[in-house]
Amino acid sequence: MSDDIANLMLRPARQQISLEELESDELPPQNGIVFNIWFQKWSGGGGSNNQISKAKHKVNIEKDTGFTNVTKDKNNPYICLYYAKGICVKGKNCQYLHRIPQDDDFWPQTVDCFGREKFSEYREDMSGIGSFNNVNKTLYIGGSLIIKSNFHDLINENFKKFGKIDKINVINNKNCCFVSYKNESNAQFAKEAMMGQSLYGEDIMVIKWANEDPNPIAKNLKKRQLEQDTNDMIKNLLSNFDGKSKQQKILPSEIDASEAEIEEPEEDDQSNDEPEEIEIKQIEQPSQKTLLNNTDLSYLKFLKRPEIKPRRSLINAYDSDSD
Amino acid sequence: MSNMEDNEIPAVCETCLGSNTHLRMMRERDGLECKLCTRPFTVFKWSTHKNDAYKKTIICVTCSKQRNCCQSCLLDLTYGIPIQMRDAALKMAGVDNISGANEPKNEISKLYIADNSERFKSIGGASITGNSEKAKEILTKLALISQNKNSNPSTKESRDQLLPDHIDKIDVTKIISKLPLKGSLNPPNDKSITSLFIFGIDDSLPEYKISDFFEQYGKIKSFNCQHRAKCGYITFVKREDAELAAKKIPKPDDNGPGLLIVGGIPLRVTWGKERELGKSSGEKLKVASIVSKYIKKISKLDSSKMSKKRNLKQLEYMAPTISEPKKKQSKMDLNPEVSTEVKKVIYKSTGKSLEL
Repeated sequence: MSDDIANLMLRPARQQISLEELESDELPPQNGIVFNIWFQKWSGGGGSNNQISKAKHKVNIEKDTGFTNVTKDKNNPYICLYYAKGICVKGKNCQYLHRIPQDDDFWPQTVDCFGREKFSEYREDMSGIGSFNNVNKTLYIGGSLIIKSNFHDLINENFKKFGKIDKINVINNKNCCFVSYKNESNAQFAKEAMMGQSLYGEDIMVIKWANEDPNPIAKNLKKRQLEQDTNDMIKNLLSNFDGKSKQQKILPSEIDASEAEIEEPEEDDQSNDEPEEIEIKQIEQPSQKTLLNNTDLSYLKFLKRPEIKPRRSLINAYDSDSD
Repeated sequence: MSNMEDNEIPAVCETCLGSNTHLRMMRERDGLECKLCTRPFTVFKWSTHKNDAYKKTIICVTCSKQRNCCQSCLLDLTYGIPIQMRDAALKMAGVDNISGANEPKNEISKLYIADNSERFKSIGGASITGNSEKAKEILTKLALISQNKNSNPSTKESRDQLLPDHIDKIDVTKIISKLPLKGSLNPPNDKSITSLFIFGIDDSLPEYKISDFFEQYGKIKSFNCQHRAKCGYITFVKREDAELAAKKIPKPDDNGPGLLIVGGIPLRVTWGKERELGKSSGEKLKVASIVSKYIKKISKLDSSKMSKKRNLKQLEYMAPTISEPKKKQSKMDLNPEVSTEVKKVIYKSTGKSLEL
């Protein structure tokens, strides 16, 4: 956690708006025939009913950040979505975190930093929570933007509060802008925090996920990045399997000497492992012999139903190739 | 479609199950639609700790079998890595005979593949990691590959991509003439200038790495970083901070731009009032091409100077190469002081060689 945020987290989180302000929520201006009370939206009647209304509140990271009532033994608590929008009425009694995502935060691939489930595909207009099939760190900023000479500076000033910015690309003639972050969770936070906000007072920003950059340079860069990530990951895996093979040496091992020889020089890499991928380490428990047995045993532990043969069914469940 | 046998046990990885050996699970038949194939499936719900939120399976057994991934976290069951990365890693290992089908793209083909699980037994590299012996074999292969990569790290080739004609034709002389490319890190007389001009920003260098460096010297008012144009302006709130930062940047040449290396990429820094860096992306690209050409020139000059300081003998050897940038200099109109110094160097070296 960065020092500034760690300092801010020492004080209790403040209540962003009072309860009265929240309850004064009125119906949005009518632009359809039927009002959907679940989504708070009008629908039907044709025309454009996806007008984004201007956000009334905005998060102030310096003032609003603070500790909340998150139980200490909870693993990976999520961030408060209402905090990101600047409308959390609970303040220090909130059950979620009131801070921006940090580099060492980790959330599963299938949810975003607010704990909302992702989908397999993006929505057609690229809005919403996003997809679990690829990591998207870039936001598209559109809507009724006004691009003046200091637009780039304003974007930078507003968006760098939510995380480390990788790149900003303003496209003047298309009246839009792209912002990419170092971490995906920061992009998720910024998307919610800046949705419907304005830079000059008259404009409204609409934020969506960006499509893949078609620029050949960017594509090349992404490919290199993927290779780098995969390489790091392989190293991490190998160090895990190394630990395994050493355990097996003590046991009557089936590994031939040649394999052990290959794996030994990888020891140096263990020290270089990044803390980001701790979750991988937890999976491999070096006490068991092979991976399939490992999972087998765990099922036996919790199943406790003698009529089912877990071994048999597991082979069915995991490995349709064998036998 | 889904047989009853599948409904008994979920295919879930150890991380999702947690360390507790006694686990209570809830089961709901046809509780949700599978996130991949959109068919209803038996949902399992459980909590690993007292206070933790419930975990649940989000894809059906058929889909998880086909991809060899956990039903809850979608990570590979054998390695515990994202399945996209697994397939990338297998490609790197040069596994040609991935028998699996490709990941289906549209909804109909997803349904079709899930319904015909007999035909499509595995998708991507699932057949390899699903088999423990094969998985081990691949891992040793990967070990060798990553070792080889470590021994000779792939050097980034500086590809000079030719600009397309329509961009090459764009006239950017007005923009270029206002850029302080020939400037230096000596504080300018105009006290209102609080910004530094940075050029040579590579696409792979993230913005935060540059601003992190400058933030240690004072508060930054704005940072206009244009990766397309390969340059940017960083403006400090206070003039003193900017002067302090300028002092800390190493200068290969007293009257030339400073050389700052961030993340392995050399950046050039000078003082300069903030100016336009091009409006359209075409203009920016053209500016970038001119800037990168200029950087090559000064880096040649600098390297020659460094060697002069270090060793005169080396310089003798380099003398013919120095004369080349000198010719180009006349075109670019470099700092006159720099060029005279270079001339002196050449004179010295050639004079010495004549003596020999």
